[in-house]
Amino acid sequence: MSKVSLVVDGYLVQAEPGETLLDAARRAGVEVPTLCFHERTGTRGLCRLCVVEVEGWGRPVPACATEAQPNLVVRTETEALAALRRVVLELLALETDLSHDAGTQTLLKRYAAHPQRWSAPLADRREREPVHDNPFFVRDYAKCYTCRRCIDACGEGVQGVWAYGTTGRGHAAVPGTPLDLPLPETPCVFCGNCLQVCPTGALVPLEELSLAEGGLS
Amino acid sequence: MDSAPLLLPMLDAALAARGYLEPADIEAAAREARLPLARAWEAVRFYPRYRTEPPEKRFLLVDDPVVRARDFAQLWAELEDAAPRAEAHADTVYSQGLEAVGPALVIEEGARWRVFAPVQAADLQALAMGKLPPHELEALPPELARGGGDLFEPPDPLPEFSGADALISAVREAGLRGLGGALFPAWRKLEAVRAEAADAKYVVVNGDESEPGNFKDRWLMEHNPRLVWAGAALAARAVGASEIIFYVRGEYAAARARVEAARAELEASGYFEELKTQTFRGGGLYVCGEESALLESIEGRRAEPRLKPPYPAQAGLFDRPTLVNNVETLAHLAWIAAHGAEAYRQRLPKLFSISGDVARPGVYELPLGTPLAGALEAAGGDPEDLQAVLLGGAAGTFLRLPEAAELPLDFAAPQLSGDAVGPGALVAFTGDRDLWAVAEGIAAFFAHESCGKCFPCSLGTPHLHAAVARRERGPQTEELFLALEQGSLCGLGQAAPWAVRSLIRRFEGVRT
Repeated sequence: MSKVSLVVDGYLVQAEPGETLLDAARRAGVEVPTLCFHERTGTRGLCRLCVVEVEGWGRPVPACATEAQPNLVVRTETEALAALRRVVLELLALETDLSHDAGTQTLLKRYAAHPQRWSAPLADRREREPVHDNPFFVRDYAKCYTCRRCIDACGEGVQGVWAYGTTGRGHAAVPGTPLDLPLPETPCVFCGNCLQVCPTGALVPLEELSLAEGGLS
Repeated sequence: MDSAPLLLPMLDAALAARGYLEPADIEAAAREARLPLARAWEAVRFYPRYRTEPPEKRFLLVDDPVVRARDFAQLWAELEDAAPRAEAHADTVYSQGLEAVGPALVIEEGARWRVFAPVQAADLQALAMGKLPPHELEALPPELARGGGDLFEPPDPLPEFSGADALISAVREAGLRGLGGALFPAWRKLEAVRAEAADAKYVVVNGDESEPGNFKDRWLMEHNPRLVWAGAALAARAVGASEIIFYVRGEYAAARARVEAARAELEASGYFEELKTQTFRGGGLYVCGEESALLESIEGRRAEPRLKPPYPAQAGLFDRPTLVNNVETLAHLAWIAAHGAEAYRQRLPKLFSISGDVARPGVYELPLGTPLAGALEAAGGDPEDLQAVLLGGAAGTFLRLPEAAELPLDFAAPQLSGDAVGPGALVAFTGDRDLWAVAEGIAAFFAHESCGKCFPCSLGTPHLHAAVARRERGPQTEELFLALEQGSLCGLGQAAPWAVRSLIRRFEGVRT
């Protein structure tokens, strides 16, 4: 199959057929910001930080979920996109404990985000108590922004075990276990995939946690 | 349909038996549906009716744009005061398609809903003494369809299928659009599904009407479901589908019963021939009306919009090509099949749900292109007395009167100013109504209905509601509007800021 030629931020890019705009941008050396996208879990299209403008199309489209097509003219950094990303990042930082999430903190700086301008948090995310229900790791959902990578890694994306699912709606949506059971009572096999794909530090091995806290626990 | 039974109907059966779900019910339903327990639990924790504890008695004040403009605050205060004295919990529930007959109250006991409308403050006070409001309402009154109309008449005789080519070209010549709000040319969808080769194809009737201000689909489902089924059967034959699923909004109990009764009658009369048909109880959330979220909910998942492409025409229900059409669209299709494209073009009928400050709120069939003032006058409204109309519904915009009086209500003219007829709601407001209170109700609605999938909507809609409640305006609010409109995955988040933005633009700009 022949390559797909398109323009990303002024660079002519030759993408492989089937590649996304996110892949195409990487070929041009452009790193489009994204929080939820994960190659192995198949998670995509939720955080909307990677939306890019395509000339002649209406609304911006998620780069992680849009296939590269011949002759597209794509812009990944415009004033409008920066403003959109700034608002999403600000609300995210206002509502979520991002203290263990270096990646998002870098993006907050890159987009000059000021979460305080949106006054007080409205979701009760930060009030969530950490779940200690197994000998291996803590589930601290005050730090979770529900990107669902853990759910996809556990379910249809990788492991096919289904120890997790999304519970609740709107800003109250959060990963949980079937019937709210403790993890050891679910099909969980403690493979550790969910910890590996968690970008926020909401899922932390107990070992790491005790080291970080000076071995107190 | 794929061989495993569907999850939601099984959960509903357990719910009807006990009023709430026990873990064993959920485990049994998951097993039967051949879904992981985590998947069934996702559905239970997504759809509001799946309670897992014995439900308390609830008094629910119906919250819609009409009551928000009037005495919502007073009625709510009365209800909050009365409910505990009747050992009930006071809450609100969003629009139930009762804008023309409200204010409305729902009394929920177990899995049973009783609707009362209209109610007054005194009726709510009397609840404390154990007295029920005087007017119980099972369905919309048939006479709410006012002034006559082709779509109000049952099909007699039932239209016959004249071949796919003939039907699709008639629909094309008629200029029929998707009348659930998106206004997409109907023939293109038909053609797209027809062109797919697959082992199974579906037609799904979208009867999930949940957008505040709209009730024309409710009326059609309650009073003319045969016309809609006829349209669905014709469409199924045209695209080569073998099964029709009629998805009725979860809360519309009478509509569901009447749609099912019409289905059973038509089946008994042999009208469906080889077509399989079923009536499906919707999930009970606004987002279920988004066509891909609707398909997810039939499949027993959280009703979350899918990333597109692929579109339902290519990969819809159970990944099969699926035609999803709104109730009114299919009613029109049946009429076109019966009377031809030319007769249709001479009439260009469109249903409007007209409510608010007009003398005769109801469902009106008016020719497409009727000027706004003409539509309001048809319902006994006086455009001179009105300051504004909410056009389309909650996902619509405020038009200012008298400036917009001559605006033709068609598919093109409103779009020139960034407005749209949408599903056809017109909510009228006189000069003494507080439009900000209406906008606040709409913002609360979107925050409540956000599914939680994409970040801009799940984070942005609560902050939009807070901003509107504070009557904020200015550059920062505009940034939030844009993040929602440009960043959200589906029409829900995208449309959330439209009403308040139009209010700011049209009512707070430089006045002449």
